[in-house]
This record gives sequence, structure tokens and C-alpha cells, in this order.
Amino acid sequence: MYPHERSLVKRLEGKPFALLGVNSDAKERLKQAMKKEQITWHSWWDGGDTGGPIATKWNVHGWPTIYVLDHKGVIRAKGPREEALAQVVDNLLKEMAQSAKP
Amino acid sequence: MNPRSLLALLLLSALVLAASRAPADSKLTPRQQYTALEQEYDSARNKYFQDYGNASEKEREKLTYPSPEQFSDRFLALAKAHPEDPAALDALIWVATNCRQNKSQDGSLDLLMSKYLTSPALTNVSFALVYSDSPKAEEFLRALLKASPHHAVKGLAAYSLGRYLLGKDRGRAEAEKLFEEVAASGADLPAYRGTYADLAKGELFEMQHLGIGQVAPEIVGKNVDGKETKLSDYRGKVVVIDFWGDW
Repeated sequence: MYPHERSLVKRLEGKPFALLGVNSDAKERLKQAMKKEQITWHSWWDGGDTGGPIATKWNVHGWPTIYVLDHKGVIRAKGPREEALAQVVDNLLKEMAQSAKP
Repeated sequence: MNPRSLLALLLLSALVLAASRAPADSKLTPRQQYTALEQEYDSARNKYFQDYGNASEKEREKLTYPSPEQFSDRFLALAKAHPEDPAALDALIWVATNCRQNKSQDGSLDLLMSKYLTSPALTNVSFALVYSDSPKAEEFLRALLKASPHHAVKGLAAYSLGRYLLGKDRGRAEAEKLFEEVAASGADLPAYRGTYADLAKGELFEMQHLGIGQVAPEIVGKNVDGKETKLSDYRGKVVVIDFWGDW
């Protein structure tokens, strides 16, 4: 996932887009991973294990789990990875640009 | 050769012969046979992890994980050969919980349904069927839910049937009803995260608030440096939320 995520974030720099992580690692492991994998995007730290409050509330059973939201905060896709994820994001950015036209 | 050394040689050959026959000794009790099979699989698996740990990245590609399916026929044969022995039930549970997407799992479920539906030992079989693609899994979960007198077995069967149905994109209303039952009755059933009542409430929350087309619930949390942010801070942007771990 990391290389795809890095390239997605880089390609969409300056666009109205954000990749947000919810991380279930111990704090030190998260710090190391962010450094080693050059993770520049935001991650919430979910308390150090898979039973964290955010993952529990969102009923997450498997990692990674992906949600894609449009600019209004509406859930538009669950689960796409890599190329499929980039496609969904591009479509939503297009849709957003079109809806902004007068 | 003097008579004494001849005797010694004969004794030695008898010992060697006996030792070479020992693994096929049919006098092992069903329980001993079960334990031996289980150990054989466990040591194959341990060997895999050991080899994996010692191997280079290239060598790792050549290693194959010992699939439980390679052992399923022998567990099933054991159960069929000794239907009255308690080891038969354990052998069937082994196949049902370890062998996924496989006709031997269906075979074990058929045998469990024919004889053991009221056993209290079936609690964890249900959860192993959540991601199954086999209609037999659904048949088994429904039969178990109907026949089992045990609270824990019924609770896990209901939760697992709900998950199974949702995974097949059908039976939404029934799944919701099953989760409501478990949310009300499963607070005393420990799960890998909280209790089965918690897990069922999680499913209900997802069905009601985390569907496509719904506004995502708020997230408030801190990053690794303690800085607090909210999901709604990112309104106006297309957002990908990635639940991840570095494992």
C-alpha cells in the first residue's frame, strides 16, 4: 500500500484531497513506520492496538480498511485499493470541479 | 559369528523392525491418533515459520505454507472410523475451523449436523464460517441456531450468520434482526474485541451509519505527537480514510 499511497498523495498535491490514516500500531512503531516509509500524511493514533476507539466505532475487522468520502463528507466507496482507489478519487475530484461550475 | 552375537543381531533387527512400524500402529487410540495428527500439522507449520525467518527474500517466494486441506482427509477419516469416540468431534471441529473454502469443510459440517448439533463444543465453529462461500456454511449456521440449547453457541451462530449474509449482500433485514438479538443477549460472551454484544452493536452501527451515501460520522482524535484533529476539519476535500497498521 505504501508506494501507491505515496504516489497518490504526491500526484494530487495542491488538489482538494486528503489521505487520512487511522493507525493501530504501538506509538513507537508508528513513529518508525512514518519515518521509514516516508509517510507525510496525517494519521490518527488509535490507542496502540486493533481495539482502539475509532476502529471499534467504525466496526473495522480487517486492515487495511478503506473509506472514500466526497467533499461533502458523504461515504462514496468502501474498500478500493491501489489503482481502483486512485480511479475513485479522480472521479470524485472531477465531480467536485463540475459541481463548482456556475 | 558366535551364538551370542547372532542373538544380539536378531534382537537388534527385531527392535529396528518394531520401531519402523510404530508410526502405523493401529493400536493408537482415536484420541492418540488425533493428537498425533494435530502435532504433525503444528510442526509442519512451525517449520514453515522457522524457514521463513531464516530465508532470504528470494527464498521466501519458494516456501509454501502447509495448507490444512492437506490434512483434512485424515482428520475426516478418523472421525468416520470412530464415530462414537469424543476424538471424532474434535477432528470434525478441526476441519470445520481450519479448512476454508473447501469441500472437506462441507464434509465436516454435514457430519457435525448429523450428530453433534447440541454439543457445547461448537461455539467457535460458527465464527470460522463468516467468510465462507459455501451454502453449506449457511445451512449449518441455521441448523445450529435452531438446535443448540447453549447460549454461547447460539449467540455466535446468530452473529456469524448475520456476518455471512451481509458478506453475500443479501438478507439485510434478517442480519439486522440477528445482530439486535446478540446485542441484547451477548454481553456475557467474550469476543476478540469486547463482547459479542459489542461486535453486534458495531455491525448495527455500520449498517445504520456507515453505508454508501451516508454522511460519515465524526472522528476526533490525536496524531502521534498529541495534536488533536477532526474529520470535519477536512470538509471541502475528497478524503480517503485508511485504517492501517504496519504489519
